[in-house]
Formats: sequence, C-alpha cells, structure tokens
Amino acid sequence: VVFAVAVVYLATNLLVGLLPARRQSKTTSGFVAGDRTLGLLVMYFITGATIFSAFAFLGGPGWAYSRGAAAFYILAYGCLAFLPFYFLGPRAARLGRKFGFVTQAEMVAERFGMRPLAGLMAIVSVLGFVPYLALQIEGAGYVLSSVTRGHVPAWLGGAIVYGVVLIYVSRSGVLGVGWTNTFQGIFMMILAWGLGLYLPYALYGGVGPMFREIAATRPELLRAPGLAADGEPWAWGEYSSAVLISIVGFSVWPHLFMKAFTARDDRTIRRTVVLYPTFQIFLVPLYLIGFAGVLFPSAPDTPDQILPHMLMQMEIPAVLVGLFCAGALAASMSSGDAMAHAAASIAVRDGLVEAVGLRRDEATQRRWIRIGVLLMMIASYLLAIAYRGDLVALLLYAYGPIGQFAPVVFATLYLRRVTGAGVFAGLLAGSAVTVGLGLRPDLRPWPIHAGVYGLLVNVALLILVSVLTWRGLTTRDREFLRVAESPGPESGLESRS
Amino acid sequence: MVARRTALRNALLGLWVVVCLAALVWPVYAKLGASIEPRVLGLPWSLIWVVGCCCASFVAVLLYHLTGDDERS
Repeated sequence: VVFAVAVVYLATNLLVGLLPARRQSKTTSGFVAGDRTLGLLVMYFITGATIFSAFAFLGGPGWAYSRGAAAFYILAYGCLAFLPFYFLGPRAARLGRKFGFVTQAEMVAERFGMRPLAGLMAIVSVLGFVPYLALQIEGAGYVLSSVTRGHVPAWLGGAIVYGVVLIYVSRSGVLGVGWTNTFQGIFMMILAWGLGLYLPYALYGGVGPMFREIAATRPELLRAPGLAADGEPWAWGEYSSAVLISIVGFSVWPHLFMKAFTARDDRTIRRTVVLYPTFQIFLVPLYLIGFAGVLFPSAPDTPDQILPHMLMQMEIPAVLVGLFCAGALAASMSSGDAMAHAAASIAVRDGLVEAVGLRRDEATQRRWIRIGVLLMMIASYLLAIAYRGDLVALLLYAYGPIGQFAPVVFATLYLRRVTGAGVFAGLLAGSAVTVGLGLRPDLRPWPIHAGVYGLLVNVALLILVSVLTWRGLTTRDREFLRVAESPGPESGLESRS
Repeated sequence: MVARRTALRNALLGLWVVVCLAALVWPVYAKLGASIEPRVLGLPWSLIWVVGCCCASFVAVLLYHLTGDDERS
C-alpha cells in the first residue's frame, strides 16, 4: 500500500510536470525563464517549495532530534533571508526584460563586460549546487528505503525518484518545475502540520506534555544554541555565524535568484517576498516531529531518518505512511528539480555560451541544457551514495561558496565605483578561502562559519582592487544602472541570444 | 514629500532589520531568548522567541510593502 501511494504520487507529479510543456515558447527564454510570465501563485510556491527541501523535511526533524535548539537557526535565518530579494529582484527583473538575461552570472558579466566572470560564477554555482542536489537525492533514497523496510535500497530509491524529475524538467523546463512545486508545496504543508501535531499527541498526549518530558530528561536540547554534532554544547559563534551566512547567501542562490527573470512584473516579486514567512512557519511542525523522537524507545540509523523510523515503528495505517512518503518525496523533488534545471542552465548559458564563447542557436542551447540536467544529476547522485554525513551539515557547507555571490550581486545592481577586476578578485579569493576552511575547519582562527571568513576577504578585495583599477563610469555602466534604477517594467525586449 | 516618505520607510525598515538580526543571534538571543521557560502554548521559550521574530518580521515587511508605491497605486 505504501509503495502504491508513492507510485501514484510520482505519476501525478509526472503528469503535472509534463502538461506545461505545450504552453511555453521553444526559446531558451521559454525553457529557462518561462517567457517571463509567472504570476504570484506559482512564484510563491516555486520560491517556497524550492527552499523547503529534503533538508527541511528530513534534516529539520533530524537536527531537532539529535541537536535540539540548534535546528532553530533554520527558522531564524528565514526571518530576514528573503528580504534582500525585495530590492534586488525587481532590479534584476528589469535588466532581464531589457537585455534578455536568464541567469544571474549573465547579468554580472554584462555589467562589467567580463566573460571570465560568468565562468567563475558558473564554477562556484556548481560547487554549491552539487552538494545541495546530492542532499535531495539522498533524502529521497532514505524515504523509499525506510518505508519499504529496505526492500528498495537507498541508491535505487534516489534513482527512481530523480528519474521522474529528469523527465519533466527536461521536457517542460521552469514551467514544469513551477507547477509541480505548486502541487508539491500544498501537499507538504498539509502533511507537515498533520504529522507535526499527530506524533506528539500519539506519543506523549500533546505538544505541551512532550516538551515537559523533554525539559525534565534532556533540558540541554531545549536551550539555545543546542548541541553540536558530537553532542557537546554548540558554540554561540557557530550558531550566530550560521544564521548570518545563511541570510547573506539565501537571496543569491542562483536557482532562486533566477526566478526574478521568470516573474510577470516587479509587484509579483515584491509580494512573493512579503508572503514568504508564511511558508517559513511550516518549519515549526517539522521541529515538533523531531522532538517527538527524542524519547522514542528506539533510535534510527542516522538522525535524518527519525521521521520514517518512527512511522514504521508505530501502529498507524499504511495509507498514512504512504502519504508521508509522498510528502517527503515532494520536499526532495520540489527543490531538486529547480536545482538541476538551474545548474544546467547556468553551466550552459554562463559557462559554455558566455565564458567560453560557444554561441549557438536556441534549439542547440536547449539540447545542451537537457544534457546538463542529466550530467548534474549523475554527479550529485554519485556524491549522494558516497556521502555519510547529515543533510543539514551538507547544506550549511553549500551556503559558504554561494554566500560569496552576495557582494557581487549587490555591487552589480547598486554600486558605481566598482570594477570587473575587483569583483573577480573578491569572488575568487572569497570562494577559495571558504572552500579551503570548509575542508580544514581546524585552520579557522575562531569557531565561526568558513563562509564568513570568505566574505571578509571577498569584500576587502572587491573594494581594494576596485579603487586601484577604477577608470570612471563607462557607457555600458550608465545604461545598465539606468535600466536597473528605472521604475516600472521595461517594455522593449532585446534578447541577446 | 514622496521622497521624505520613502526615506522614512527605508530608515524604519533598516532599523527593523538591525533589531531583528540582533534578536536572532548572540548576545541578545543568548540573554533574552535561549531559556526553556516560560513556555507558551507548550513550546519552549527558545523556540517561541524565534517564531515571534519571524511573525514580527512578516508584519514589518508587510507594512513596508503596503505603504509603498506598488500597492498604493
């Protein structure tokens, strides 16, 4: 029954994902930016559901279960994380309509007239995307493996689910991602609140009694900042810097930022940002699920499996377990599809077309992006089956390199006295420091996120090199900033491709 | 007049961002929000504090948006 519910759910997703293919144009802009026609409903779910992934649905309860209040950092950064997009998004959208941009790096490279910058941003994006997508595949594998009691191994579960994603993303592009995310987002919200209230009630008699028992037996889990991975108290520096780097990096995640180019108008982008915290509150029931596992009689193999583990141990109807399975798959797929689509679009548009200079017709670019989706999934899949850590740690690492885009995007859209050399030097050095200290955390002078050190180096070099290489505003700079600052949608489309 | 109103809105939003950010990290969160008690609706204070910041942030951004040109027009 459980497997049947999961199969029906996957088939429904496939159908919802394939239908929009007929409605979009055969251009790269149609495939990557949905012909810039997305309204509030789809924008709300495409941003919300893209963000709420296996990381939130499995990793959130996993952290609440094993590290307690440390998990609250996810809700904390969400309070402010999308706000920069309120200002950056409409500016980027105006530029996209005017110049035909469909990716973040195209926009940056155009401002500074530096093609290698697009290539560098494509490389850093892929460095951030591969672990993030791996996390989604790993989550999907955990779910199918748990609910079939190991009959479907995790590696096969991940392959089945992402086979479905591959089909609808390749066929329908961003519209397929948008409409499946709307369907999956509604499904996830219902499931999360249902399970978040049901499990504490079934196991402890309610939310209040559950926290009373945890406060009496494991109070260290309920005091911020919770516990580190080794079970010792987490450092305030680690907690606070995790919140900070996530706020800085959130709006400039390339797959999220690219959605500025899909929106119908500026007002749609702003309303999406305003409504975003209503999606964020959906983390609360996920925490309740994790805390419900603290005093559960048995323990899962890894903390991320606490939710499926509890469901399989409890006497509950198989249909409910099947629905959970579908909800968790929704969480994984709704992020994984957007990431695979964005990563492939970036690799082709920013890497091959912009940086390498392989300018080809629209049909060829679309075919390359489809091949890119396949390659990204294979790379992520291989990482997923090799990785042995937890889901949230994987995402927290990915925020380091991606956070380095924040000064770049801000400088591109707002600052006059910056140069391409300054942006390039800052991004290169900041990313290198972040990746280096991420791999060797023992080299950090203080226990704060590696991405914060990278940001300091990034901003310092951006300013210093820009001062040294500034030769005055070019005509391109003036035209670029004029369009970014002009209110209201631009009507003329001047596609570059 | 319009420029003054925009400047005031931006200043108030900026102030809110600073206050909210401070409330979510060390040392303000550590001093005021990190404890288990008092519990509200059964939830520990450490969680209620963050949920409260999130709700307040929603209201602040909503007010900023509703008083802007987008919605007023």
